[in-house]
Parts: sequence; structure tokens; C-alpha cells
Amino acid sequence: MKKNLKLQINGTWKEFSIEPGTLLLDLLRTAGYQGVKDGCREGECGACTVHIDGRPINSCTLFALQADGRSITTIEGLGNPDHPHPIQEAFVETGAVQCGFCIPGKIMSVKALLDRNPDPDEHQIREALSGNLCRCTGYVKQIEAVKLAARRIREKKGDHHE
Amino acid sequence: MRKILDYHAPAAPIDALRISQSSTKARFLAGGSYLSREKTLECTLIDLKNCGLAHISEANGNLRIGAMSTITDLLLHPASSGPGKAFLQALSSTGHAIVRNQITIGGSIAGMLPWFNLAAPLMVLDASLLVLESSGETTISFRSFVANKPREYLKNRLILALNIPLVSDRELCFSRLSLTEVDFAPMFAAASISREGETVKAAYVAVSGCLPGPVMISGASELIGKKLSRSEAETVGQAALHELQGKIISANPNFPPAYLEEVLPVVVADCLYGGAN
Repeated sequence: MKKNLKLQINGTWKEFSIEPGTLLLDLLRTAGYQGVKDGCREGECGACTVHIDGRPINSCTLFALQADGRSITTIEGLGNPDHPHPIQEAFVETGAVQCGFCIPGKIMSVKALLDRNPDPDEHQIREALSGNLCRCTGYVKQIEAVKLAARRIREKKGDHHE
Repeated sequence: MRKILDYHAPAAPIDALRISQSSTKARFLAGGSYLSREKTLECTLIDLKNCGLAHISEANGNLRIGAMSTITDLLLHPASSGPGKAFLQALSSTGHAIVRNQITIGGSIAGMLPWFNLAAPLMVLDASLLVLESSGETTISFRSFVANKPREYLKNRLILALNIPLVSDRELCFSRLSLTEVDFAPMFAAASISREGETVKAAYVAVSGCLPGPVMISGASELIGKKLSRSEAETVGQAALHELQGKIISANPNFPPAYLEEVLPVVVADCLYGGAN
């Protein structure tokens, strides 16, 4: 028996009719948001991270119906190859991407961090990324990327306190 | 294979309870991080998201936490520091940064999984639960709830809120044993201490994680009337080992039960002495 739900995905309201056991991850990927990666399905790796009302959530451990009526942002909502988000630019420039599978989820966690804390220290960065695993083990470059992105976003906003 | 028979999102707790009583296969859905991973789940889901249970307030000397409040909600709320810095420490060491946005206080208490960081602190903080049953709302102390086998107790009942009395002269201490900050810790110790000058007038210690459920350590009462020193803390640690020897369990291969028995006195002593001094 299918249930209807409405989600605002990357700013656009969309309606779906789904089986009640459908996970948000599967709904999003089926709907074409394939930047949301299907990793562990246990809430451990963070590859499937999306924002719900601005907070990072593992979409693999959430029934889609739990998100009914809420605002979802996926990596596709942040930027694209022609117009990348400053966080995406920083990850590319610092060489923080190896196989790339974990990167969309990491960038969503970084976006949430920088939205609430524009100038995080290394401990705060590591804490914010504690739910996003990288099996290529490229953590050092990724932390550099977050610092670079934070500096650029602050500069863009006119906050030159460094 | 997961089979969700039906899904409801009632607007009031009483409606949620009624729906649960009409089906033997009904399960309350809070954050969902646990239920969504049950591969063989076959049930009717009753989503509590619209029941008005995501609230946090401080009133009349109590911290009241609605069952649907997430760990992040608590970490961001100024009233959460009321029970002490160690309460925030226990909250912030729960899972990882993403999962804290999803897991709820009510779901964690109902599940009472061994890695629930707050179990030991809630034992020593005299916490209580506001529960809805057919005849209306009732209150049960967290310690009685634990002693009553939570899953049995929660048949035909719904947790509405957690209540923590805020006591000004009480110090809360907390420690956990893990390999990393975000590891699933196999052992938690919490203590609450009240002093008159340097003399302990009340002391409560609880241990959780490595046991079937959280337990109070009766040996903590030995501290009353004494000045808390490292050696007194170690004595309580040894009392904890004496009380729990043979009951220690562990699902974590990094921490076999024999090792946990070895370090239990140290974790308890560190909690008492390191946390309170």
C-alpha cells in the first residue's frame, strides 16, 4: 500500500508515491540524485549524507516518510561543475579527493559546519567529519580543504579578521 | 526482507498509543536510526514526529526533555548544561556528528542499547520518565524503569518526556572507555556527588555498557562522611568490581570481558576522582 509524500528537494517541491518502508536514500537515488552515495546502509560511513532542514542526516537510516514536508538538500543543490560551491572548489584545489566516493557526504557535513561556525579549528573540523569515513584515508588534505573553504567563504562575506 | 505493513503519523500521543494497541505488530518510530536498519522488520510504523514531543525546557528546578528531542537539540539548548558539564560531555560523545542529528532521547531510552551514553548519568541524576498509558500519564523513576525490564514495561506505554531534577550542590562526573572519541564505548561510569565543604554527604555511582543494563554501585555509599581522595575513589572502583564480577559482557572484540573486569575499577575511580576534582 503506497503512501504519498512531498519533499522540497534543492528548493523545488516534489511529490512521490512510495512503499512506506522506502528509505530516503533509495527515494533520492531513484529520483535521480545520484550524488547521494549508497555506502554502508548502516549509518556508519556518511556517504549518503544529505541535509534535512539544514542538518546533516544519514539518508540510509531514515524512512522517506519521516521527511515528509521537509526541505532536503543534496550535493546537487550545492553546486555543479560549471558553478561549484567554494567547498567543492577547495576540495579540488587541495587535492582532497582520491576515489571521490565519500566526498559528496563529506561536503554536506562541511557545509553544515561552516554554516554554523565560519572559522572552525582542526578539532571542530574533525568532530564535524566524525560521521564521514574515507577509506582512501585522505583526511589530512580534506582538513586543509575545509580550512581553505572556510577562509574563502569568510573573505567573500567581508570578514577579514585573519 | 523488511516489510512495513502500514505507516501512521498521528498528531497526538494518545492517538499513537491507541494505534499501537490495535496491532500486535505496531512499533513506535522516533529517530529511526535503529528501526531502519532492522533487515527483517515486519511491522506497522507509528511515527511520533507530529506528536509535539520535541521540546526542551527548564522549569521549577527540572530539565524537561521531550522524547522526540534529538541529541543535537539537547547539545544546542542552553538548559542542557543544567545537570553539569559532564552531561554535555556524555551527550557530545554519543555516536558521531551526523547520527546525533537523528537519534532521539525517547528512542534511546526505549531501546536501552548497551552503547547508550546517558544510561549511567540518568541513573545517578535521579531522572524520571513521563509515560503515557491507557489510564493517563504517569511518572516512573529511571532506576525503576531499568529494573522493570524496559521492553516489558513499554508494552502499551509511550515515553513522553525525560525529567532531570537540577540540584545546585551536586557534581556530575562521567567517563567512558573507548578506542576513539566516536567509538561505541563498552563501558560508561557516572557519579553524582554532593559535598559539605570537602566532606562527601551523598554519592551515587552507576556503570553501564558492559552489562545487560545500567546498575548502581552500592559501594559508593562508603564515601559518605569522607573527603574524596584518589584512594577512596579506587576503593569504590574495587567495590564496583566486587559487585559486578562475573556479570560483565562485551560485544566488542577489542574489549573482551576479562579486560573490562581489569579496567572497571580504573574507569570508576577516574570518573569519581578525575571528574570531581
